[in-house]
Amino acid sequence: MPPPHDHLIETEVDGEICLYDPKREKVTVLNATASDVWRMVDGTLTKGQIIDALAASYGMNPDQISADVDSTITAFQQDDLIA
Amino acid sequence: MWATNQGWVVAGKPLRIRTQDSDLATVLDHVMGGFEQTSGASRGARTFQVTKTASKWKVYRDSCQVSAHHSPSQALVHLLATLNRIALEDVDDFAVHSGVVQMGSRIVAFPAVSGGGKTTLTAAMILAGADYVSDEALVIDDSKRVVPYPKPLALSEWSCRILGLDPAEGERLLTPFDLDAELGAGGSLTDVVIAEFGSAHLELTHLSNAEAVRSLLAHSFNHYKDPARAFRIATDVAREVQVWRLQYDDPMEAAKLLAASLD
Repeated sequence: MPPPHDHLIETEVDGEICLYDPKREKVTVLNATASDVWRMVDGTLTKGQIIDALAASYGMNPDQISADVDSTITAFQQDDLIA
Repeated sequence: MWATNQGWVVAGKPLRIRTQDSDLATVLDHVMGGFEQTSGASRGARTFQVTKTASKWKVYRDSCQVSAHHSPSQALVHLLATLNRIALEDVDDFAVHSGVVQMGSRIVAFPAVSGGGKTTLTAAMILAGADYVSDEALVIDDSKRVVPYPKPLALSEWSCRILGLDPAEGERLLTPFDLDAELGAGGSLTDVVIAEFGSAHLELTHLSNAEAVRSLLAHSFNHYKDPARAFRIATDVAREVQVWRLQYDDPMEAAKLLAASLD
């Protein structure tokens, strides 16, 4: 998994991550679930490892969350938040 | 000879307004009553002038004519709109398109676009007992303090009717004093209300603090001047406030519900 763009400014507000892209002057506010996924996207973990780790933290089976995690990561890519 | 030649501080900037017409001078002194007056010359103050000619009322800004109108009321509305635009273009602090009221120690903002109902809701809150901070802009300085911007409220005929006020043709300009209200002293923002007019039922619900970040930046006038600073201020402020969604159809009922919930 590619890492987040290093020019993004990131801050957390009440458990939800807010991202500011100064190049595009765009703000993205991630909901709680997307924030959990974002915290795992550091360029060192594969998508499968992220799914497994989040599933374990939620006490769920990886199959139950893989589609949602996958679509969240796709949204990060479409919004140009990750390289 | 000027009927009025008064200086005011608007959004932190000095300006001067003058006219030779005594009736217009009386109205001007009244509608500008929410702003701090200055005496004597202010360095760097912009000067606005409203002058009557044979057929027109002309508005000047720093000796340049900016508009001409058929009546003094039209000239006044244009003058105030010009002042508003300049004040918000020039303001150095983080500014958001928003109505703002104060209830005791609580300062409540209603970020919204033009025509989104913030002036009507602000007026309804004043009638429900709130103090007036602004119907146009939430201005937050670097110490995260809300700076009052008490321009006169401009209410449409529809708004006047729904608020139980006497309507005027076109817009009616009212100061908080016309509504027997006080000016809010400013302080720290405590609540952000995302108001949705047109809902079939009246409801007030909590939202996450992050929604305040989205709302404040989406409605900011001047985030583009220093986007990183605007982001920092919006996120710092968002951490400290309560965030609400207010769905309503009747501004007066909405104001009563919100006032009761914030009490």
